[in-house]
Amino acid sequence: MESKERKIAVHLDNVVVDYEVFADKHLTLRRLAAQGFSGRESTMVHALKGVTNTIFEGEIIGVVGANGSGKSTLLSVIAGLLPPNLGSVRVRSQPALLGVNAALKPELSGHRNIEIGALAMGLKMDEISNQLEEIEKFTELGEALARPMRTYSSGMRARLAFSIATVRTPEILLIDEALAVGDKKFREKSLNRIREMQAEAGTIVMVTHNLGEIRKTCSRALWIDEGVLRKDGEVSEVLSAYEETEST
Amino acid sequence: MNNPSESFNVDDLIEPGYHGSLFTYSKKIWERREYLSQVPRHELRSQQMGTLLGNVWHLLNPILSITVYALIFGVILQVDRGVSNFVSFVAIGVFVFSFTQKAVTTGSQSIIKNRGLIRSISFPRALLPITSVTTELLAFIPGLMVMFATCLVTGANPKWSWLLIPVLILVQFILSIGAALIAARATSLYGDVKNILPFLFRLLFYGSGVLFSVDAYVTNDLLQKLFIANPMFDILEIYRWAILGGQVSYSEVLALAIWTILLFSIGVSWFRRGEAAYGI
Repeated sequence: MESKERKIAVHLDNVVVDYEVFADKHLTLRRLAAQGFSGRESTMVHALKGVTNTIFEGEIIGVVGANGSGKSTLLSVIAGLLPPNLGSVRVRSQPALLGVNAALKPELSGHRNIEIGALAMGLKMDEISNQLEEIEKFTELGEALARPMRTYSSGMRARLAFSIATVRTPEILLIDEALAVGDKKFREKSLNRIREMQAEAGTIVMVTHNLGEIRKTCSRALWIDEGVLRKDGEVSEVLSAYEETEST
Repeated sequence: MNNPSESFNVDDLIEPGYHGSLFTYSKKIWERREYLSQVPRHELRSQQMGTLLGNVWHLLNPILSITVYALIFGVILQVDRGVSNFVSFVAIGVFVFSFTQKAVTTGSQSIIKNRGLIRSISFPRALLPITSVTTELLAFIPGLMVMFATCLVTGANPKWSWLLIPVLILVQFILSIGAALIAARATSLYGDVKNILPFLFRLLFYGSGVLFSVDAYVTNDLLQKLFIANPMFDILEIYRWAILGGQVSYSEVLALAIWTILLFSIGVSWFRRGEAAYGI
């Protein structure tokens, strides 16, 4: 551990998240009469079953796990989008979440989405116009920025979303598979941007199935398995343990 | 992993997605006032995208609707009992009522329609319903112009009490924000609200005397009290009094004031209680 006074960026204390999922059945009058309003059939999904972890400033955490293991839920909880049913989450500053399907306003152009996203973050119009050129250049979307965002491919959406999320450099950035859909060049560029952020004591938590990316970028890895934190530690250690079970 | 020299003091950390006390929350909305001034303009413009006349429709719509009402109620049906300037009477009723109706209806959709924004960026979510109401306030301006033009053309004289109109608009704006905040959270919890709102507003439409004079038609004492208890009836009465003259009672002013304070404070506190989960 390099410095003695490392500051905590994210603290998760026994976080439990249960989803209530309603059965996809036609709600008929007869069924309604039989069950009453409270009787909508639902099942509980235990997405996180008590996760405890502390993430420090300057760390880049890679999160691995099978599909449906609770990785995305973990990021939503850290971002404050999903209140935990039990336990607590504390952060040093409000994290920015970068999801794979992030489209702010699909019917509006890329330009407008940048503008609206920045305004919602609390930037002023003149700050935005000062940065606009730089942001637009970073997206490399060129003329596509004038088209509605719903016409974008997932890779193009990811470019735009990454650029918006980093307009005001967040101290904590959560990335949910968002880079995977980008092409190689953009991924390289984004990873460079992430390393720059780390150098400025930023904290990054990234969920990805690209283990090579984690090896190259991350300082620590977490393995989530069926809502439980199965392993936490050195990247190589966690990944080889994860790969072992995956290949069997 | 965690060695002993690291401090585990989490007291100076914050809860993610939590925007602080009511004061901090309001401050954060105020910091985003440029969102409130920019986005409504985009929304109005995009509503008329793909039309030949574009933004002219925002003015043409109220002109056409007032023409229809004048034709049907002033010429064909002749229900202008107890009202001297019926066309102006209806114009005020229709435009003032539809401002609140549209504000609450679009406001109720503001959370579910902006899930993408909510999931990507952290900001006080009340900004969204307030933006919807501001959009409709902006759309109300051409309606107001048509309303005053109608009044002048049909022989109403300018009065000092016209100066009270901005105050009335502000009161109506605050009332609508309160109702929109409630409708937005209710819709995010129960999709059913979307089906109920149109009926609620149709009931309010007839219960507010938009198209007829309640004083002339309703003589039952209890019914009259029920009308006064309806804030939309009160606000129409006060608008009409301020623009056309006539009478307004203290109980109407009082009822409107109580409703405005009640809806706004309940709206703000109830909406904020759902703040953490609007992204789900």
